[in-house]
Amino acid sequence: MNTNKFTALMAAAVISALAASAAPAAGASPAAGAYKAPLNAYGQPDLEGTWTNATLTVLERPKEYGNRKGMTDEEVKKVEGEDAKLVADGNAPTDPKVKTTDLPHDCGRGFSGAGCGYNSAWIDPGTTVMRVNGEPRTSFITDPADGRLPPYKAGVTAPGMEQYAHRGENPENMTLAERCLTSFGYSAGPVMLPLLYNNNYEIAQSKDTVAIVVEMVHDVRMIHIGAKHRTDGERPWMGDSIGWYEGPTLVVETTNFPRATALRGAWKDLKVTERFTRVGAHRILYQFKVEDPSTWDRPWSGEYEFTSSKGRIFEYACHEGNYALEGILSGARADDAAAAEKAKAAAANKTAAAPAAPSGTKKQ
Amino acid sequence: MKVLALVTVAGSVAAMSMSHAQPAAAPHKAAAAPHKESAAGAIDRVGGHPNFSGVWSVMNTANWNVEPHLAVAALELRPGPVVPVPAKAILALGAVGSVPAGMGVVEGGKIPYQPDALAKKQDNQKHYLERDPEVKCDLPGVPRANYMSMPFQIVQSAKTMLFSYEYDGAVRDILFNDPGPAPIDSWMGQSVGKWDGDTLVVTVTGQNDNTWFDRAGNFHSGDMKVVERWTLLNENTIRYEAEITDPATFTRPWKMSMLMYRRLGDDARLQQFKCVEFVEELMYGDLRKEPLK
Repeated sequence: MNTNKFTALMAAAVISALAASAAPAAGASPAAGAYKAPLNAYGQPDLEGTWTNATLTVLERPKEYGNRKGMTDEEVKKVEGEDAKLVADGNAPTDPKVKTTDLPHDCGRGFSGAGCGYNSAWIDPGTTVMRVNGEPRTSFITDPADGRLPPYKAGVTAPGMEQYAHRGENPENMTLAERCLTSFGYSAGPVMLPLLYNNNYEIAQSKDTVAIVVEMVHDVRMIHIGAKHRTDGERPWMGDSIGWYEGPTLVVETTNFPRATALRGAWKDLKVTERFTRVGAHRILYQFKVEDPSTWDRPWSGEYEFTSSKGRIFEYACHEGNYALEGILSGARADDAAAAEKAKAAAANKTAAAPAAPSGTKKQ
Repeated sequence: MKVLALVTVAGSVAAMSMSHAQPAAAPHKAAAAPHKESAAGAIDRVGGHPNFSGVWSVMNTANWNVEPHLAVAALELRPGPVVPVPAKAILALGAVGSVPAGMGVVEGGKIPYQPDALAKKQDNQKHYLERDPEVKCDLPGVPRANYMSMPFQIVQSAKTMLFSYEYDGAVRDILFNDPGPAPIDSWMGQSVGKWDGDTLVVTVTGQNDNTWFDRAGNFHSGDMKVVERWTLLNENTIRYEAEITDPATFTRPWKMSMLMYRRLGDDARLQQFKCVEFVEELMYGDLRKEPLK
């Protein structure tokens, strides 16, 4: 975790340094500028290294920004300043006499009460607004123009929490992340999206493979260069990714997504196209396009930049230390037992209170 | 994909026949290898070093038992009226639960256990279903990850070497700049690599004491050091050696040695084996709202 925190700090430092340097014209193409992406020993654009997409910017644009994809300096100051305050507050010592019931109703990032248990030291969602080519961004999505997902097709409903209606009854009723099957959120993707912590990735390249190691849960995206999509109807975790190089860009096309990891409800006909372009010694421009004609009437797309992480990714051995799942299920069974006990007592009271109940019938 | 696969196979066949035709041209003799092995042929190189990129697997039974062993009805037996019989938990598997024989991969045949450690190993084997980390889908550690029945893929460039294992999606990154001692123990440890000529030497430390060498209960402490030597004998064969040093468990350092083979054609595709969900009934079944009968 120290490594993660350190990584986040370093990434933040890199982003800050980038922001401080004179930004080229906004909206410039990846090829713009003097930077020439290095080639690896195979003659491919070299994307290797450890990268992070930790940022305060989110996939969908908050509505107050309207159709504006860029953020003003004042807005950046406000967003980053509020976050810095949250981090400082979170780092402040907690009075040992405080009980969980005394915890604040709002401790930021959507957490409240006992959920505030995550001190700042345990998370690294990034501390800066995403810059793309130096321009601070209000969202990852750039198309549609409002930076938000297009409306679902008629008859398609946004996925809710209904699949977790039976939480606690069986391990299979818990989220994939709680079961240590994949990350929280959509870290592995594709689309690869940052979340509360562990936003680190390692890219390794051989002649015919690009491997992307996703910190959580040591998932590896194997991208088969020059291959064709499988046609056997099987849908592997994280889908079936093939790739090719276009000039300085690695293009990855993923289909055959499994239902278990649907992207905002889409999986069956989902196609995600990602473009990775090295645009600086410590920057990869990541562009994505999402198409699923059975879910949305139109594609949606967006972009952000990965920045170099300092250091290596530490092992995220999730299942091996998953005491929480056992704890949650045990807790649910304890609740069941308490509820049964209560119902039994209530029934006994009712029986005792009932007049002229025939006695001894149970014994026969 | 089919077309590519055919090209790969064709390329490999061509390379193999080349190496057969020119045995004298072998630049790297496997002098230290204890067995007769084919001489090196045209080995692909990247960054000046042999290129190990590809999908590999062993063809041995070391994951069952690294020591030499005959086939046996089950690793866990109980007394029968005449001879021992498979333990109850394994019985339903029939012949599938039995152990295939193997010549072993331990040099000298036997692991030199301390007396107490030997007793623990034997006890481990008696209770392997409850104790073997593989049964619970835990990360396998090194060296075991390398000789499980499932393959692994090496993704290598001039500066990077990533090992991605099919079993449980385990990964190892080879660090060519030694960062010093591992910050904390982990399941797969910290792998620091260097080149000794054309042999990749990887020193693995920082592993916890939860992993085993095999299903037969062979184990180690959290102080184990593993020094691996990876040598491409020819384009499609690796000689793998691992020296194990762990004074808390063994009376002296010992070595294992085996061959690994490149997967070709359609077999050269690493699959996913996310076994975590496969063990949920085993690990949490009794905590269901309505446990299965």
